[in-house]
Amino acid sequence: MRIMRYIGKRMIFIGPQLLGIILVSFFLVKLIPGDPAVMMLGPMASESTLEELRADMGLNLSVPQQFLIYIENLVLHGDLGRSWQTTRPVTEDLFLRMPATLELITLGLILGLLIGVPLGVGAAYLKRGILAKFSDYYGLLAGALPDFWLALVLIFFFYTILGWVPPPLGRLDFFTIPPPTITGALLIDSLLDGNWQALSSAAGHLILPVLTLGLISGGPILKMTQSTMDRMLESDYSRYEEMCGLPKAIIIRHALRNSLPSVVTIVSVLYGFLIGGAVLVEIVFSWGGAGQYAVQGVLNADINPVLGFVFFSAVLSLIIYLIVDLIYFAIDPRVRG
Amino acid sequence: MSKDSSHTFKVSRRTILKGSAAVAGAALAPGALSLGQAQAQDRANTMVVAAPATPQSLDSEYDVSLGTFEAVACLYDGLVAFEKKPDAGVPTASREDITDYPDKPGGVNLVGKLAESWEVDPNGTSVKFHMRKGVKSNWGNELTAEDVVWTWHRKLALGAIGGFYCNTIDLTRPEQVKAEGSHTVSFNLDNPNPLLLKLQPNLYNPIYDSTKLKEVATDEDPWGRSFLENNSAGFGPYELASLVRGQQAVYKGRADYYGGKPAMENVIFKEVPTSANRAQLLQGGAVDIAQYLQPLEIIALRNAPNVAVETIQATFMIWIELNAKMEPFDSIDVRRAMNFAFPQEQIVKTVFQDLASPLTACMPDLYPGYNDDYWEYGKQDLDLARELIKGAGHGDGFTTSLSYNAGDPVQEPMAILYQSALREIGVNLELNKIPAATFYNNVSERKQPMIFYVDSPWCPDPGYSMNLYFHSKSFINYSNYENARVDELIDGAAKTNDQAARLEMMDEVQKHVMREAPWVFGISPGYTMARSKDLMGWTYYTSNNMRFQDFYRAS
Amino acid sequence: MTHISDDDADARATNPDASDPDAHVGRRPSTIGGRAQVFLQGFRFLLAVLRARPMFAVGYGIVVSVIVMAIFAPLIAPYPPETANPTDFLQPPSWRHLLGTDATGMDIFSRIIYAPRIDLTIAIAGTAISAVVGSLIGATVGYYQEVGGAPSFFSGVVMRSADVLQAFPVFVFAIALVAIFGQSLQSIIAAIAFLNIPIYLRLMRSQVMSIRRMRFVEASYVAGTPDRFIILRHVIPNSMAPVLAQLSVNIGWSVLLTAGLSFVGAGVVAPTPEWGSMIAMGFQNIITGQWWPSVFPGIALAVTVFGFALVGASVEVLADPARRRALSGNMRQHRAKES
Repeated sequence: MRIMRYIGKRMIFIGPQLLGIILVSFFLVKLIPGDPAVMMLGPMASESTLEELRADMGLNLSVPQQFLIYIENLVLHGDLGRSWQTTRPVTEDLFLRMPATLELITLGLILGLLIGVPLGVGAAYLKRGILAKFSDYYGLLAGALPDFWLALVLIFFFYTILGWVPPPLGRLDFFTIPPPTITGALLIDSLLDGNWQALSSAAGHLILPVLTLGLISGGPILKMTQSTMDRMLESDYSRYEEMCGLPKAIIIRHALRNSLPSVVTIVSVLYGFLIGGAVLVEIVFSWGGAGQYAVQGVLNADINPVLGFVFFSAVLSLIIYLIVDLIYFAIDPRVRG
Repeated sequence: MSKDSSHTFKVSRRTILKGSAAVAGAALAPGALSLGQAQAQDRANTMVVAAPATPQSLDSEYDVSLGTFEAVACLYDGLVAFEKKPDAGVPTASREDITDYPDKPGGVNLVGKLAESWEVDPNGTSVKFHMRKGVKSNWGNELTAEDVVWTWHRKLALGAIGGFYCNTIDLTRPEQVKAEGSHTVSFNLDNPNPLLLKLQPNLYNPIYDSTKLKEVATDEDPWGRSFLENNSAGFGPYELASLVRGQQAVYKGRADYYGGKPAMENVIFKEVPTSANRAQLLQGGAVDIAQYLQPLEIIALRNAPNVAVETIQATFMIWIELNAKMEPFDSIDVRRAMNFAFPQEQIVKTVFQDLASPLTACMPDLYPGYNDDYWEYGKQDLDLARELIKGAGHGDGFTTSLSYNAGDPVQEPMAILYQSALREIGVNLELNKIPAATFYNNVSERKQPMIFYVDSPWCPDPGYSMNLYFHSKSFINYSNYENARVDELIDGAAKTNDQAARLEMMDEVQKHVMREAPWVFGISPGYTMARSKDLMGWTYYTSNNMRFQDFYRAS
Repeated sequence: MTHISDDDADARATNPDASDPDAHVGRRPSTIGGRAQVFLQGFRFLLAVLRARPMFAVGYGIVVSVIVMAIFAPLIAPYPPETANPTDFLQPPSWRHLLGTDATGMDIFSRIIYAPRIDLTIAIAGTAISAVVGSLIGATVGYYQEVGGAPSFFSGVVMRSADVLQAFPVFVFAIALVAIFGQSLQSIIAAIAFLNIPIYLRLMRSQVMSIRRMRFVEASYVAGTPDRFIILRHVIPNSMAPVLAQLSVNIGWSVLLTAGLSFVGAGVVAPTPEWGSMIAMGFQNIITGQWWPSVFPGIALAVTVFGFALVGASVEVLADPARRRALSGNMRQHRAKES
């Protein structure tokens, strides 16, 4: 029942936290210069038409009033407003774009785990070998590389010179018929649809961006794994196991299991960060993701996409942290007890 | 809705600015997430265009975004169009014949589209059009004079782009457009106006299907505004098959078009926001036309085997507005100095890779009445510039700022080159990058000392061009230029049909303007058509867009 | 950067030596001579460490060179960084232009050398501000956390606000700030400072929470020392270690963020030399085959951030007594092997 109480305690905060996030973003975004009416109707509209549109959009009300209207729309109707650039409701746009970003990030982090965890364990265990040195360098380097630059270099290398991957033009080939949207993740949807052409096209287009994100996120994952494993292997119980003559594999496995909370932490942090942080990679690959959508919104004073994106990503982040804490409960007996 | 008859209306802007806003704002499209289009079309009758943006709105009363131009061009026909002639330099291209023909009615060489024939009143105050019979709209309604009347009444009522055109031809009352029978319509002005006929071929003077639009009208929306945002109701060769903003638009040739079904029956207009990607798609053969490419990309495409890249003289002008109401640009000498310092040739060579020419006048060099005799800033003369600045009382120089559009990739390097040149005459230039969507607001607010502007006047008439940019009451006169004599001349030229007299007056206007330099006269970039080698028929229009109905495949 | 979400996890994760009575090893002596001695000792120790772990030396080397580049740029760079030279545009690397030129003919090598002036200024200023502000708030919050009543409630509010701030997508927030305040150095610094405050806040807070439980702090409290004295004189100096380590890493990360902002177009004004801005300006050219305007600045950027990360790692090792012991142990073994 401790779980229930814990979840309950957290849930109480979620509402106000979300409200706080929307509040801050609303007032922040409202400060960005730019008159949406002029930008929607264009320069040729007459003053009266502009005034009409402003009244329609509620722009002539005070900012707190506009905020209340926004909240009302959001809570009562699930309406996040419209983007003046795409002229579509923000919810529609986000339903298209969020899965693109999430698919990319998830695969990128999986690759990061596949790179980071084994290297981290190996480096922690074989303290002085080449592996340890390599992991050290890699960990630091991965955190130092600008992701958009790495993406450019990879494109130049694998596409312009070698021609091994399709051009960086988005998620699918130009003429491929996309599968019907079920989850929004192209790989899954095309599998479910049996659409092999779309599957191979989507996979081809995913290679470079996932590689970019994986190589970069592998760094922090590796460092966290290594340092935690280090500490675990130094700890008393590990030394005791060694003294008792337990086989290496088991010692490592135990240490690894105890390192899991930290690894889970770092992955969750990265996930939350990448939802908005992958935008640069999205731009380089014309991915059409949610982060790109929000950034274009900020640059062009298109308020609703930005707010919608912040809201979505905040909800996702909070859910992720909740899941992470539940995972702690599951794997860490100390927290439970 | 009140209609102000002074020149305060915002004009239909063929600005690349708004288009750039659409481009920058629309960098959202996933690769090919279209809604179930089976694209395995027959190459012979299908054309694919990679464009910077899909149309924002299909209503030519309000929208000047890039994608809308092509949409209006294929969905609608006007009453008349310019006759075509082959381009002098590029044999595969045609142009509009915009030369002055003093013997023809209205002085223009026109071919009838929705109108079969027309008569111009000898005193130039009225034109009568005889409409073609048996023309059907995409909704099946037949063309009548009422459609023309309704269209122009809409312009008067809504008062945006169409309103500007009404002003230009001095049309102020609905009764001035009259149906005289089922297939005859007349325009009756109070005073002779030289543009009455010349403005009709303009891209943004299409004729609407009033029958359909009256059907969908409501009390709050009597002119079909919300309908026309997403649908078309007209007599053009295409109809809109589907439109997913941010992704693509699909146009289908109409079998019942009075001119016959267009050769390219299916046109897929795909949004590809990055120019490099558009070039890639063309190179790989995935698209037939790649619009709006950067100079380096165009050069690179010249080597592609299945691609034809042709650049011809166009009506684009890129210049820098010098705000005459802000120091130090209230001084004519300082403005002239800025022009003497501008490194035109260097920019043409490096930024534009010679795909442009220096702007040597204040109107496009294609247009009748263009005169570059008054051009004195040809050689970059830094010494003279320094002298002028000193003479104007600014000693060893001054500091000012130049604003440029983040969405237009040529503006930043131009600004940087100019900054370096200005340093040598003691002018310290701060560069101010403005995001594409808010750029136009900055231009129209007139609060910046120097700001880029890109434009082309669509009507091939000197009076029209001069009026737009140099009449003190014009909304587009963003440089705050004021010269009473120039105003007088422009007003005079708007009220007479005597073309010879008009040309003289506009010549004098050019003399004043070139000497008083309200602009830094920049560059005239060419229009480039980058297409599959077997796609023929392209025609250059002064509105700098293409019409899908011109194209056909070479066999 | 680590975001830690649970109060208990905070204390556990960052201060495993909370129960170690010797943790307050960093106590400062009170005489000048004594202090000088400690300083010299530390310095000699640092040299020994650098010899034992050469990677750290590389890191310090990089940081020093970058700072030197920033200060002496006019003396080192062969060409002026902001003067366009149209005749030389987009030249590949050659003897005249070591790293080639960009689209307006500016020498890339010179611009790379001038870039640290901007990047480091922004990064160091932003990080310093956020460190100071965040640490002060965090220390206060951590100190009063357990007290209960109004201060505790206030702490809760601050922590939840920090949550909200950190839940914000970093990029969108930074770009929004720059869009509002205009593109200038100050707004970028403000954006970076703002974004990093929660990090130092949390770090300091969890450190303080564990330090606070120690006997010597209690002793101070019992002796009647005012709270703020305790915080400033006892608690903060002893909590500095992770903050110092974080500083260097943060600087590196801020440089990356500035570059990212410039890449999107919300960073420094053209043609200011700045690595991210240079990468952005060269972005278009990569597809047409001119790779050098974008690749070289990226390498410079990566190496710089790498250097700062190494310095941060070294500070981490030096500041953590357990790892310092491990390192000394290694060094002794190493020296033993040598002799």
